[in-house]
Amino acid sequence: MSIISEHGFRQDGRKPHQIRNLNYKLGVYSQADGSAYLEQGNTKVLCAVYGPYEPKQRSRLLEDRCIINCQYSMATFSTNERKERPRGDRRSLEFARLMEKAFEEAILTENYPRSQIDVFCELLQADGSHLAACVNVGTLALADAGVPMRGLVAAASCACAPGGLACVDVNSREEMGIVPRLTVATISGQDAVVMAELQNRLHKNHLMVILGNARKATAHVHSCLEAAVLTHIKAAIGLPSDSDVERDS
Amino acid sequence: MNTSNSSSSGSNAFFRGEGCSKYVIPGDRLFPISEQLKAGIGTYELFGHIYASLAGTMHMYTTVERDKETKIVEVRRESEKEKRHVMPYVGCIVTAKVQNIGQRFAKCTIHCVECSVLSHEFNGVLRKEDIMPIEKEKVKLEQCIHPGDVILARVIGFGDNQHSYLLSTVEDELGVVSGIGDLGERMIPCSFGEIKSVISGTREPRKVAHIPDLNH
Repeated sequence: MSIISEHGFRQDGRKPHQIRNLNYKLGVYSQADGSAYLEQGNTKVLCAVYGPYEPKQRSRLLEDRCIINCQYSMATFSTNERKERPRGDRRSLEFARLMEKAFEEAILTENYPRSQIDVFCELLQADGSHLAACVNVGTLALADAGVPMRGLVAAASCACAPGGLACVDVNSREEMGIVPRLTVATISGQDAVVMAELQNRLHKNHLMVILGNARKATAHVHSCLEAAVLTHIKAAIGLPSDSDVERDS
Repeated sequence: MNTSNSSSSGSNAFFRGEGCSKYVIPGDRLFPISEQLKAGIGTYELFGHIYASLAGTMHMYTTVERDKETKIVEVRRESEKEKRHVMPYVGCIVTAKVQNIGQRFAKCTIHCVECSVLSHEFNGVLRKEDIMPIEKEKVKLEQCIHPGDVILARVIGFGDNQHSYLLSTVEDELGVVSGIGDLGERMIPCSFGEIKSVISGTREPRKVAHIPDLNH
């Protein structure tokens, strides 16, 4: 069966270019420096950020910039069948390294020499686009922690339906075995791609179409993340004298 | 879809003092770079523009250097004017706690940077020659600081192994501000070179920080 029906809709009623609902909450942990909770459709992720702090392992210390350490794990109850996934399996390590590369590009690491920033992501409920949801919740947690960044990192996934049609923000039913899937992260929803991951085989004629649609989806995701951070800082910082001053658009 | 701000850099668009505040998020474009405008805390420069690197409110203020007026744009996370620090830097005054002392140096943990309490501790080293403004041979380390003392110190650099920060208490305003006695009671400064137990009145020699109205 195809991802898109003959009337142009997907199984959950979305058009191919539409992303799922994003629900968020910043500052969920008081003991962490920054934390965030994100729901992207039915994919639910928690993230905590610690740092900058002094690294315990001296060998990893860098004199000119800070180290980004990411950790990704799935809860045992996050999928349909209960499965004990160790934190060091291949998929977790792959996701953690991809997230590290994305955040190293975005964070102004030269501001904190000889230090380390930890980002811990936990997937609570799995419904597709796990890597994109983790990157989005990580950037919310970093903004909550006050880590200076070049921009908010927005990530989105995109699948290629038969015929080269692009479907963004795939869920678990659309992540079928042989469907090509691309996950792209950009800074501020613009053209700077800081992470790209492709699974399965994709014809090169379809690559630019999928990439363009994924980048547009990251722009949509970035506007949601921007609204989330703005709402949070208005609630945290806002004074009675500031309530009349609104953000220019 | 991009909602970055691109305000004009004309002189009429600037505000005196800090009367205006605007919410920004990381990646927002604030102003083009010009000779009269500088990027301050929470901002960075890229491709001829000043961008915000923090989520918070934008502030602008004016400084005069070499008879030329310069405006500085900052992004702050808190409403207060005090700056918040997350890491020690060279030249700042830190509040540290002495962990252990040796023959030539004392190991400390840095807990505060000026007025900001750090969420994570950083290690510091206070060498014998950096405690008193007198000759190195005349300094007795155990008569200046003890483990458990809370000291004010200035960061002067990084250690030989680059692992920890070098601290200095040579200035008069730096030194011990609080100590722990043998029974675990608090000891407060009572003169320029001594601290006194609040319970038993025992006096011990210390390099006391000369701070007016401390513990009074």
